[in-house]
Amino acid sequence: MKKVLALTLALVLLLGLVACGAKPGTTTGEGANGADIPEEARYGGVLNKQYGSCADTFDPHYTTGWVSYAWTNNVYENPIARDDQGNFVPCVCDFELNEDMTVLKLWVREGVTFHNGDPVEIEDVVASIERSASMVSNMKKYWAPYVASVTVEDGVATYTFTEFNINTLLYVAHWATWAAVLPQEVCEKYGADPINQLEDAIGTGPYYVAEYQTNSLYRLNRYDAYVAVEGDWGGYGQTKKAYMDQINIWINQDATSSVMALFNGDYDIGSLSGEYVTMAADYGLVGIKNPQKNMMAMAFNTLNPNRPTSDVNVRKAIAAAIDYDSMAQAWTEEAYEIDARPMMAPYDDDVFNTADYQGAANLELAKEYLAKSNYNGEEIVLLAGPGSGPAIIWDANLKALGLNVKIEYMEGTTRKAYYGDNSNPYDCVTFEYEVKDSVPCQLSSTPREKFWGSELKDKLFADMTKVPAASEESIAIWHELAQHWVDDCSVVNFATFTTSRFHHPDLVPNYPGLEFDYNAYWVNPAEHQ
Amino acid sequence: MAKFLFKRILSAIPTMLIVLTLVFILVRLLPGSAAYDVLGDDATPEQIEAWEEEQGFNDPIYIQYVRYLKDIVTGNWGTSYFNGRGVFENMGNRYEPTILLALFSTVITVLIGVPIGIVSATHRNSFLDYALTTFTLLFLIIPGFWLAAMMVYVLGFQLQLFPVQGYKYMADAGIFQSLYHLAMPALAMGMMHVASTARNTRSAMLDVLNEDYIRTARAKGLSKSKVQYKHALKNVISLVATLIFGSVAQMLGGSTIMEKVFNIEGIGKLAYDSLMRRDYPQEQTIVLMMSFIFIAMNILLDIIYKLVDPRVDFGD
Repeated sequence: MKKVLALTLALVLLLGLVACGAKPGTTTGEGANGADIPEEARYGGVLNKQYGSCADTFDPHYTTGWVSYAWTNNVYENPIARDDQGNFVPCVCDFELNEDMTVLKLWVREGVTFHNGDPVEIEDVVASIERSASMVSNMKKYWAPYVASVTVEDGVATYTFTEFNINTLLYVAHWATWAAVLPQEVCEKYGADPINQLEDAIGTGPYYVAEYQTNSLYRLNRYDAYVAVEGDWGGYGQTKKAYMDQINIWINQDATSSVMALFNGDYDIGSLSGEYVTMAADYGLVGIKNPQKNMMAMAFNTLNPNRPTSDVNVRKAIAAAIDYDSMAQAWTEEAYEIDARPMMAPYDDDVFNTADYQGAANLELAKEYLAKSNYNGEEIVLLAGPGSGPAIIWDANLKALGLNVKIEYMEGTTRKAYYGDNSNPYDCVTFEYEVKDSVPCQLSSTPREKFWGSELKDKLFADMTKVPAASEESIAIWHELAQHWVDDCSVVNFATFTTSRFHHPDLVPNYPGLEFDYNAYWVNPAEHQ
Repeated sequence: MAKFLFKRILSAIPTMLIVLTLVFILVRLLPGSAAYDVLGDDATPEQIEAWEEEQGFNDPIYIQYVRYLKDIVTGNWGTSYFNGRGVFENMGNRYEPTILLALFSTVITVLIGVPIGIVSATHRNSFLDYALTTFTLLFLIIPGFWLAAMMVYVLGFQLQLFPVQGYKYMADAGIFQSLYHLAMPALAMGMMHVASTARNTRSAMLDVLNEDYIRTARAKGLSKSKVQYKHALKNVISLVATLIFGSVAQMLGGSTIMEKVFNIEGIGKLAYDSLMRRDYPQEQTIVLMMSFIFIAMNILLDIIYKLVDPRVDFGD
């Protein structure tokens, strides 16, 4: 018996040592330099990608709430697109805009077909835009009310708008495939109901949906008859080449198993956080610097005049008392950058980073602002998610200032409903928002209007919609708005997440602001079948 | 037996009605609104109001309740807010991994727990008894999600013995691949129930071993092992079998954590996702279906118990 027990114990210890010590093969972790791979050698291979969540639908017009652009922009395309400078470029259609951008003419590019082989007709484009404008909230808001008339003649659709609004064109050209071109018969078959049958997932993109497993896998195969737009511009409207034979989009919400699968090589691209990031190089994974902005922010409830944070000096006192680096560290285990600028170039105005309350905790400045305010010791309430790390920092920093503070913990959906009504008794809420290749007037409504009440702000955002994106006038208006944002201190941006996606070292990814799969390729496709 | 069965089914109807009402109330007690997830963060208050009006949430609660009962009875269980598909269509082939996982983990529980219980009982108060009891209690106190995560890391990732996540359907990959992908979650879930199975088996065995006929058998000169494994064991197995049948129902309910950790698209994971998304029609349907399955299994358990031991009287 003693011998049996001793042997068993030894076996368990041995197993443990092996388990803790064994590691798969490692590489240097440096990315592949695929620039000198000849064009013809890039074709082939299978790409396995992991995402934590994805809308469970085939409908590009339905993906408004649950974001799923992980795969739709491989399969579906809008009538027009934008390049990396913000200019409109052809996509499914060629186009013509008049000088004041109130008349848009669209005609289908030659040779463009749907995945079922049918040629795309202008009637398909018109039907798709009409369907999108009845289903997608941003199209309902910025396209439908502005269309005075639409005529179709000789294969050309002419849209006449009631007035120029940059959002009208931005949303029909958005990377999010909200206005994707579908066959007219699919639009008529489903109406406002979401497309939920695989055989009706018919787009014009370089890939088509070959297989689907509920909330688990989208398998995309190359569409060999794809006709790419020719142009040397960048951005998501770039010329698309389907180098990969197949792209598998795996949905895995669990952090542990998805990380293990990424380290194991089951996935070629995936997300890492916390100390897994430091282990990435051990497994030969290369980090993709996230060019988009994922802002960590705090908003004040300025829409409720009865709250202490309706006073701008109280807001600035709070913003000055908080240590931004500590907030960011408590917020995320991913890499981050202290950067208060909420937009990408050319709207990356540095006025945000020069605010006096920005950065490290400054109790002296905070006390100065507090002395100027009407604060009488009222309770200041933060809405935070369960177990929120930033809430602890907020609490500690504001208590050091001598404020009477309280944290209300609420789960995400409940929190959204709570701050959907600003008469509720809260003062601050921490949240994240994304900025992906957009102009300021396309900013998420959460920082733009849900908490911030300002006539000047509303006027300036409205003015931005009346000038072309990335123009001098647009940038000038934004500068004025940015200064107002800083002066009003209703939304404070702490930092932005940086690297969060990691990939196999042999992969040359395509990441022009968004993680696209067209134009991504393997250095050695034969080894990735 | 037919009369017994009829009475059992009849008595289940008020239970089901209570379940229906509780599900209706609990789902609507959840704070927050599905509108924010369906329409997105940029939805305006007017759009949210319009959606809630369209879904009937602004109607008086009794009208919502009557409509809910009518829909259930007429088979209109609704469509998912998440993907617009029918709730049963979404549940479709998700039953396969959940049921297979429950059965597989029950087999593991039985294969490990029952022998441990028997050996513990036949070596009562010995070092072996204490060691086995400690071993089983270990799996009772270790949190299931931690055990699962450790197994993913050690058995799946480091030792590469099993896949770290996912499931393959029988129709696509064959039963062996399906079971291979369920091996780790089944082991984790099964081990969590080993303690209770072992303890129940041990108690049942000890009760039987204290019976007079066992003493008589020993007095007649039969060997210890023959008495234990031939005479006592068969009286224990029937009792243990009914307990195990009940644990299958527990496994069905407890699969949520395992399905989430191992990324298995089963009913448990769908229930969790639906709850987090405030997908009321889907969540209601899952809870109702699982409740009906539990009620049905309890009825079946009573029948099996009566068949196994006709002396049992339910007071009918």
